[in-house]
Amino acid sequence: MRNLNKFALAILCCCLAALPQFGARRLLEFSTESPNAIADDEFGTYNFTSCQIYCYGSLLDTVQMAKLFEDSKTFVDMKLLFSPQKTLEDFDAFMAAKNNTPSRDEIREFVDAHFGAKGTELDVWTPTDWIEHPGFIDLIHDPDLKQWGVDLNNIWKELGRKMKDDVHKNPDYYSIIPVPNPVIVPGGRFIEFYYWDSYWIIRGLLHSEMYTTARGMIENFLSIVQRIGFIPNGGRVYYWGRSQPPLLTAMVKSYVDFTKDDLFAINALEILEHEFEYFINNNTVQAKGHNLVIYRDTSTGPRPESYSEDVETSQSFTTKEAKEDHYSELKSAAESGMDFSSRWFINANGTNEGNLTDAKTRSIVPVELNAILYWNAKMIAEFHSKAGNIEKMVEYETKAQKIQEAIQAVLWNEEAGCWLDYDLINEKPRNYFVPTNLSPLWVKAYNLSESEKISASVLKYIEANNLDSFPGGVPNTLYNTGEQWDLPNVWAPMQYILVEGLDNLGTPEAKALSQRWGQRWVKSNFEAYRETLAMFEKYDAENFGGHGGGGEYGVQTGFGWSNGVIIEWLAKYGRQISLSNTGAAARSCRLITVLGATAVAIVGAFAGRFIWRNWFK
Amino acid sequence: MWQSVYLLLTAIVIVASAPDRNIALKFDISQSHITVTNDVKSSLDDITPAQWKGFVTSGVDSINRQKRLEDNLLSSAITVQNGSLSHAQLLDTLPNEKSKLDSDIALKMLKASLYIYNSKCDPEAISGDQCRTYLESKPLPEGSTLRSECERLLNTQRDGHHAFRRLLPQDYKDGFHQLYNERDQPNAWDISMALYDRENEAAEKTRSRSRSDDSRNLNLVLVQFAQFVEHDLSKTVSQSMSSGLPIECCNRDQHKLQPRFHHPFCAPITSQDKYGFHNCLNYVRSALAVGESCNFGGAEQLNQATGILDLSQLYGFTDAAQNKMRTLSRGTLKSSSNGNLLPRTSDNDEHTFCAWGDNANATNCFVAGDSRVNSNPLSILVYTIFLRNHNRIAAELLSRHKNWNDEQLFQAAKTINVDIYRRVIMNEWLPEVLGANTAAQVLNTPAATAGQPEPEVSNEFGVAAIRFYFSMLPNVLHNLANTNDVASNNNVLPLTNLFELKNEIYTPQIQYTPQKLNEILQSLLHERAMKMDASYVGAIVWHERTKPTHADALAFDIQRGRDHGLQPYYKYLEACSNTKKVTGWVDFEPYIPREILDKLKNLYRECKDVDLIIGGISERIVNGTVGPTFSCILSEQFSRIHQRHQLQQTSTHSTLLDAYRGMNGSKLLCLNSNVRAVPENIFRLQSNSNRLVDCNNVA
Repeated sequence: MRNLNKFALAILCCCLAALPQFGARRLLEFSTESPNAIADDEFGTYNFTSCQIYCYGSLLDTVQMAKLFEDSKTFVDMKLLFSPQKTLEDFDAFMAAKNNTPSRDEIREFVDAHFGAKGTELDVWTPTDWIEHPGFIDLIHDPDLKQWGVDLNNIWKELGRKMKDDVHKNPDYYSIIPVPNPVIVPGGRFIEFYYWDSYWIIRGLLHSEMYTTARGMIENFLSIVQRIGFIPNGGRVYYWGRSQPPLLTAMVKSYVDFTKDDLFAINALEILEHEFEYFINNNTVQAKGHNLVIYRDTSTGPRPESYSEDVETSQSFTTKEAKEDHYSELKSAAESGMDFSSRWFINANGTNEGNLTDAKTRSIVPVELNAILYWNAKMIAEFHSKAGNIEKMVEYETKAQKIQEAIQAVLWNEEAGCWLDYDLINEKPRNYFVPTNLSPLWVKAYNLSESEKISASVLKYIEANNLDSFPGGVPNTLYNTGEQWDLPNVWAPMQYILVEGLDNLGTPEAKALSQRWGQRWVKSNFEAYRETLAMFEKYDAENFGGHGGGGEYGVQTGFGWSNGVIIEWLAKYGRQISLSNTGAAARSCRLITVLGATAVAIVGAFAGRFIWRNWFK
Repeated sequence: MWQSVYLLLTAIVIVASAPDRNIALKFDISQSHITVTNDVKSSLDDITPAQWKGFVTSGVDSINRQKRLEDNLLSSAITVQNGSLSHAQLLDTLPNEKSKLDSDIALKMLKASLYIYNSKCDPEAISGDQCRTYLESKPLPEGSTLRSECERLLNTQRDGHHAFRRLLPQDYKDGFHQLYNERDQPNAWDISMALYDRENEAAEKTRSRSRSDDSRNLNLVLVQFAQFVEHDLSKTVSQSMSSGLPIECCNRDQHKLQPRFHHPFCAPITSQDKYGFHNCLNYVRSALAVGESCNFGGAEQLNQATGILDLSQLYGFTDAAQNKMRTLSRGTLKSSSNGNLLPRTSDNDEHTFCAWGDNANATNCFVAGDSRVNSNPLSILVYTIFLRNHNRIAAELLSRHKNWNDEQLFQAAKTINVDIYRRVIMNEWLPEVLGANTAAQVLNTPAATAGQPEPEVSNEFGVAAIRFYFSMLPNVLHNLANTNDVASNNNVLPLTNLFELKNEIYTPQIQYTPQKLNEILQSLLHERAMKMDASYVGAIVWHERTKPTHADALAFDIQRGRDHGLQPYYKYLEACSNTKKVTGWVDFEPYIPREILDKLKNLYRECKDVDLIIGGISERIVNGTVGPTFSCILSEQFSRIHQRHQLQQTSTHSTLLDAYRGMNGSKLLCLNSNVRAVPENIFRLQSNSNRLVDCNNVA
């Protein structure tokens, strides 16, 4: 199969020039390598012309292994100055001239001569539907939090991006995937749109009453499914073999909930079904006689955006096949959005101890992916019912029912009192805490009549894992490995899943815990913002107001999903929550109220310690 | 002009304070006292016993969870490699087993305190300082394992792993241990680079001696004794992994590690190059120590040294360490080259004394009670002098007391050796460093009352004030071995160098023979010390934005001062001069020369950010070798040491000691080397007022 892939790629390279840019053509047959795979896929892996530069090949390998940039993602985000074909010809000549062993400086010269600065394909864009005072602000009682809400609403303007016209005219020269509408990006090194991030961004936009921007982003995704068949991890061609947790249908549902525009959902149904079937067809495995889905990847080679890092971890494997398998496990973990985490490690003893070389993502049935697909089926059924397609509605209700049965049979663990990921290699549940273990609560993928029982059981699970003891939010796991999706890092989408899930459960105890965690998250994010005037990509469970670390790049600010979750919860808790003033004598006035809007805040960031130390100490 | 005003003021203070025993040495900490407000008290008094226990559990769990990360670091070979830059630095800060144990308990107590801060203080807008001060009076919960571990520790012999004393309370971002970030403070390496003086370095290369201090005729022996005293009194050690292995914070290319390999104890010194890469020098946060009690609270650093002058750097301060140095025969210490050199390392301890790589074909590596003996050829020399002195005394004692056994001879020789050393330091070296008046005041400090807790070394002394000598070190030691034979005081330097300092730091490359040490000693005596100021030579700082091949002592000291939570410079200026409230740069003008002050204004956002070490080395020298603030910190410390010395002086060996009362610095050097003559004052160049003493006439 691997050889076939290579062969197909070779053919692909030869014929690319003849292909229409976004022909959504099936280029290769794919079948997952997992022994449990049952799906012989009917969708393909697709390719772009610029992929020869940015996704694989000798040029990518030579440049990335020279480590010209501190962040490996820099190179693959640089614009081509010449056509891919000319660039490759020049590169071949360059290599021949240098005896195939160019020096680092010579490689740098080649890159300087053939590539322009990164990120130049995007312009900062002020959303046209941005308003200064969306209604949610009025729901916030505390004056400092209210001002923070105003600031967060302002940040949308900093995160808006529109593609330059040249991208549409000359897509071959860029790694960016062209989309028709402007987007809100996560921020920091993530200068393009990302798939699952966009769910929380879009919810934030909807609370900010930016319906056009939200709709534009959803339409981009719909157009990508039409063109490519699935939604890649993010808006770059080098994410060609992996998706992310499929939340497109939930985005549509959120949009419809806010705008009551049922027709939008009904019109999207065909594409939503297509994406749903794509996951079912490509990602399904069997466990205990049930069909469930896993994360996987269809590309070859290291992750282009973290190329040398992957090559380094692959050093512990000797054969080409073993290295390729390792890359697949890493990219499958990237498809989960949780790259990386001890959650994906299975060592020889069947436990989660180890490091990236123990990644076995494709052999782990993840709770949330199955829960999300259940949810997708339910929502598709609901949209069909609104459209009056009873047959289709029943079809998708049945699909949902099947998935729920599989979740109950394979992933629910009576002993632990919670859902658990399932290890296909050792055929056993993985009793390690991850917030996603509670994700069925979020999408209501459980028997609603058993809420009382599940509530008692889940609360016991939470207590047993001491999850309420962390002042900065619930950590992603209880294992400190250095990876960014492990202790002590806390992530906004995971807090969202936990808090909304417990809230859905509806028992007074679960609701009380939900509220405590939700408000703790808001206060801790505010403390970090008060200190740094920044929103972070990840936070620190042990540190109230502290930000996260670990992984392969430094912590990023911006930050799309964190902002989205806070805006939603400022709207949700705004009337009840107020900041404490026990130590007010020591920290007498609060910066936000005084400083006001973001423009001032930026000045404040420079004045930094001077202001903070003198005002708060 | 300002300087003269200051001198006048100092004189007045000294005169006026004469009736009070040591007012000039008094350190005013009244302004820094923190009172816990009633609101804070009542809020934190609500914490239930179960919650206190929960916080301790969380803190201990958190530290235990780091083991996973450490396993991953080790499986990726992220630890200090033999022969690396980090190896040399590790030897400067090498922890022993007891320190690791102490630090581990202290760390868990700190982490538990941080859980309280993050759960109960920060969310309630209670400041870190308030929170810490409240917690300092709260004992760990009864019955917790951590409490019993802590109490067991307090009841054991704690020599050599006490907490540093603080002159002023901690200054951390969170009040407990968190470093300020780069938005708050300029980067340590950037400060060091900005202060580096290219012109002077060039001038030194052309041998025009522009940076030397011509007014005072100090030589390098003064500088080297400062380091020797530092080794005796102060040793901060790095935190380690729970397995005991050292922590590495940079990759093999001296670049920043990927964040996944970042140990929570890491605070690497970094600087960005033109391509955006971060050059990196290892910095591991210092080991912690349990304070006087088993209470919650902020970070206190561990001093792996004893707080008196006792030559522990030579002998070691534990019986085990000392026995490693002894021959256990005739009261002598081990040696090599027929008793003329320090003993050499064996195969199994080479990497704990020298920074040789695994494959280096190195024969030179010396052993002493402290891993810092090989830090440079000058330190090897001074350690050797005191080793020879011990063995010389032991031999003399044996000739007079034929029936004494090894233990008797050893203890007596050690006592005498230490006594001689103390007199050289307190009576000869200290006046050169502090000036005669201040040194005299130090020696006027009355004895401490017996039974009082013995004052430990101050953090400010250990990681800032005593580090003044770095700025006086030269790049190379010129060969001045024949200076005695030719007419001296000429400014034409000989063309040969004995060594280049940067090649010798923890990698002794020159061939050590008794003759070589004589040359080094002669050259030290006749080489003018560089001025104590804010510019360090290229051998000990790394001033380019390129891959470093040696460390940067100044950046390290800045980073360490911050790691230890020292207050900024101005606080010490206020506390020492006792009169002034610093409000702006202008208040530094009486102390810091204008051209340095201008540099500092460019570096720091405001005067209140200036680090203690930077303010200290920037000050104009008053009398002695250092500026007023370091003088204040040093004299405070030496008064405490003097108090403790006096308590010990009713020793059983007093009659023996009397026989050696005539020993002084020049005799010490004469009797323990083959030099023909040394200056009467061994810390100054020879001159008309400091004539050479013929060693043949010394008995």
